Amino acid sequence: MGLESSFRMLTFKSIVLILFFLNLSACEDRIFDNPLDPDASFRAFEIINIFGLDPSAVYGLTWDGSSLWACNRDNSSLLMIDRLSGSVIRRLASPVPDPVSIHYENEIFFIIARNSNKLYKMDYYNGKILYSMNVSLNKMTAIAGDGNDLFIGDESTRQIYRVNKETGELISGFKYAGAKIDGMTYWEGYLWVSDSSSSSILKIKLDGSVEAGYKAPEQSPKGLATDGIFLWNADASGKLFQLKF
Amino acid sequence: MDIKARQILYSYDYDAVFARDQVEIIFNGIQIKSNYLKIDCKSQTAQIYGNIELKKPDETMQSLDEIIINLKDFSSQYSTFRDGIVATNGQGEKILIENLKDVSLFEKITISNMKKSLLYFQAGQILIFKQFKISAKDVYVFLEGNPGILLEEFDIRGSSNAADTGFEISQFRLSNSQGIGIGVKHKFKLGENFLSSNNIYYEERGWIEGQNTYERALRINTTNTYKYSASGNANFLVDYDTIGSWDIKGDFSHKFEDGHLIKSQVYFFHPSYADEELWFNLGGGLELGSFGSADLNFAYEQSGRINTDMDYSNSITDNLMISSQISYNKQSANDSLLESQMIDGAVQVSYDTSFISANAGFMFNKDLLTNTVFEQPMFSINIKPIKLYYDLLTFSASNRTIYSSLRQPDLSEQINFSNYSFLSMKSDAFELFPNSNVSIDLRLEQLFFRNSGPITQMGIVVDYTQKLVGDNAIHLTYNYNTRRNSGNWFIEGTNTSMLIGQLDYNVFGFTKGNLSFSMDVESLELYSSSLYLDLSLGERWSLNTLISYDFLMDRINDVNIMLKRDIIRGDIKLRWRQSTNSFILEFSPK
Repeated sequence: MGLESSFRMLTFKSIVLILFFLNLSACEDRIFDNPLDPDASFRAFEIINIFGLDPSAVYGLTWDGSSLWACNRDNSSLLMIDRLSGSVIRRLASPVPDPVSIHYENEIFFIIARNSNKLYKMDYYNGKILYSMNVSLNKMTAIAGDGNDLFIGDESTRQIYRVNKETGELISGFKYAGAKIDGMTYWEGYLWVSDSSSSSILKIKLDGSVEAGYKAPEQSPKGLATDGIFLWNADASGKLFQLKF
Repeated sequence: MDIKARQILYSYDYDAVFARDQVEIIFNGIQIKSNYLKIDCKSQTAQIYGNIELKKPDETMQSLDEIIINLKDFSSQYSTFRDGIVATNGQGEKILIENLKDVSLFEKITISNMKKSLLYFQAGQILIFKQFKISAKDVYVFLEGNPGILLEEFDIRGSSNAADTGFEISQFRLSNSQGIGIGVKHKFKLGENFLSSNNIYYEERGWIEGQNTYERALRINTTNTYKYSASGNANFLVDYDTIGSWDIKGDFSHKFEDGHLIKSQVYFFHPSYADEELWFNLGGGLELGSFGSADLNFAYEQSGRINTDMDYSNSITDNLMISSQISYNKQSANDSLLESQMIDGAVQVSYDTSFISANAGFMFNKDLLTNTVFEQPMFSINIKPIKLYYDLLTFSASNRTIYSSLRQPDLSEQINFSNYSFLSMKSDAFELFPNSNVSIDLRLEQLFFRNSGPITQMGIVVDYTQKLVGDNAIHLTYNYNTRRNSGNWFIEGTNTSMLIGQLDYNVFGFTKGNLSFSMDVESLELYSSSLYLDLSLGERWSLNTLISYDFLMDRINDVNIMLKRDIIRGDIKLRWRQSTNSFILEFSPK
């Protein structure tokens, strides 16, 4: 009893002390051009917020119009994340094991999974598979969409393809400039790709040429999504970064 | 089976029959009269009770108290009595009690529940056929308790039993963005070894404005599995859609007694938009005893595409493990694909003890067409969680170093180097004040990139829960992160701090939900607030509302409203979402 009560007091005092030091005026925000890479080719991003995530739920981010969604590969589930608090507010069981990436469009999720050449079309509300399509790619790792077509990254060939979202047809493709396609999103006419092999985020034109390269906020960037204002990047360490470019 | 009674009800919600008053049942030459009859259609089991008179062909009348009949094969396997009641026949002889069955599944089949169903039928006579199709005469249809039309003769239940064989609606959806979708599932089971599962999905989108793909489509998917022994099975799969694609896949796998596995697959894909593909896959797993295990896969496509890979792993000692992978992929250019030829490889050595674990790995990739080479050695070391203060505090630490090099002809080598360390202290939840729980998670991180100064990060998350009366509770989460350039005296950098609060409430079970908010602690500026409301509207109806407000943009972020009708074997939901102005009506079976 004595030990517990002294532990409580110690903890309480520790919290107060930590909070005091954290709010020292000397630590006011001072934004630097690029927090990590002075060699980056363009004006860098600003980190607006950092949230904690389950490290197994950092794959395949997407934006549904009001919230973020991420794939949790350990327990094959899809998590809805509040963009302003980082809290998980809804959970859907993934209808396919080991989902690696997800893309939202018009109350539909498009999902790709490890060791599968299928593109799954899933009901946004109840999580049921409507149907699946064959895609002639060997190792799909990331999916994004521009509203008309999908973009799918194939890591076994390091290529990115424009894919018909109703049939799975490969419309066109280009060679990816990096080594790994860990996350992908379409934003303002460009594909943004996170690459953990170089700890970077690449802004790519639709012909495959690199418009700009940025050092990711942390070592192993994975899922990537945009809400139209900010870019969201989840890292393998279990963090979700809200980035302003 | 022919059933007559003064009142017979069939409920779609419960998939059950309830009959009462002068019940008369005839099947297989057996005639039964009783006061009540209940049939659970899913399990195909009937309960008959109340003044039973049973007459078999060429036998005298028997008076019984209760009979449970298994109707799966319309055999007369029955005569069980509940609560140990021993009935006597007309001659005063005791009838043997056997197979005392669980009757709990009939408890839900009551006149009250049947009449609360969304859809039920009332008739004076019904006929039950094989596959449990039920036909009725002079049927009144009731929707939400309201009588509808009178039908002279009507099949009130199709021939289905989803547990074994038959059809069932897997889903129905109607939305202004995706049109109408109807899914039907069919199962067919032959003995214990053969199972056929078929899905049919129909989409109608012609009425949607701006529709520019296809107006309607039918998609069929069938999976047939034959388990020929405990160690092996064969599958045959077919996909077809009316847009023009179909594929057939046949595979076979067998596991030997010594653990080796062999598998093969033939796959033919006929898309309407590209060349056909014919794949031959051969693979297997080898259990090499003290030499570890290996998996090999080889896939060849008739146009020259090759995918092959090999995995090997071995536990050299209890603490030391080695694993490696190598793969080779080749494809030629055609109307859809780009040319590619690539080798990938990786090797990893892991050392694991109760105190520490370490991993060293090397990844390698070579593009044989462009002669681009990627190499990535990495090393990580983790100190296993250390528990202190009687397991109330947990410390852990980790360090990971990654080096990578990308060499492309005519371009300078791209080298990346990064090092990441973290130290964390986490507490278990403990009681700070009465009926409260607190937990703290503190994390200190150091990040270093090549050509860049070191970055120091610190984060703390404090969770506090205060239980109130009943199921009501308040949760508070404080999340603080600071990220500073430590090479420049911590001057440059950003702080983020946030307080998230949530009130969980439950008012007599009538309404429950939560109200939450998030705010910046330093500026005391509210970020967002959301309200979730679950309102019970009687026994079967409920209304769910989720409203979120964005204070930064000063607007409602989204509103979701869902009206739900529980129909026991599924739900009917009507949803509306404000941010996308979409509505959807759906039926999803449980």
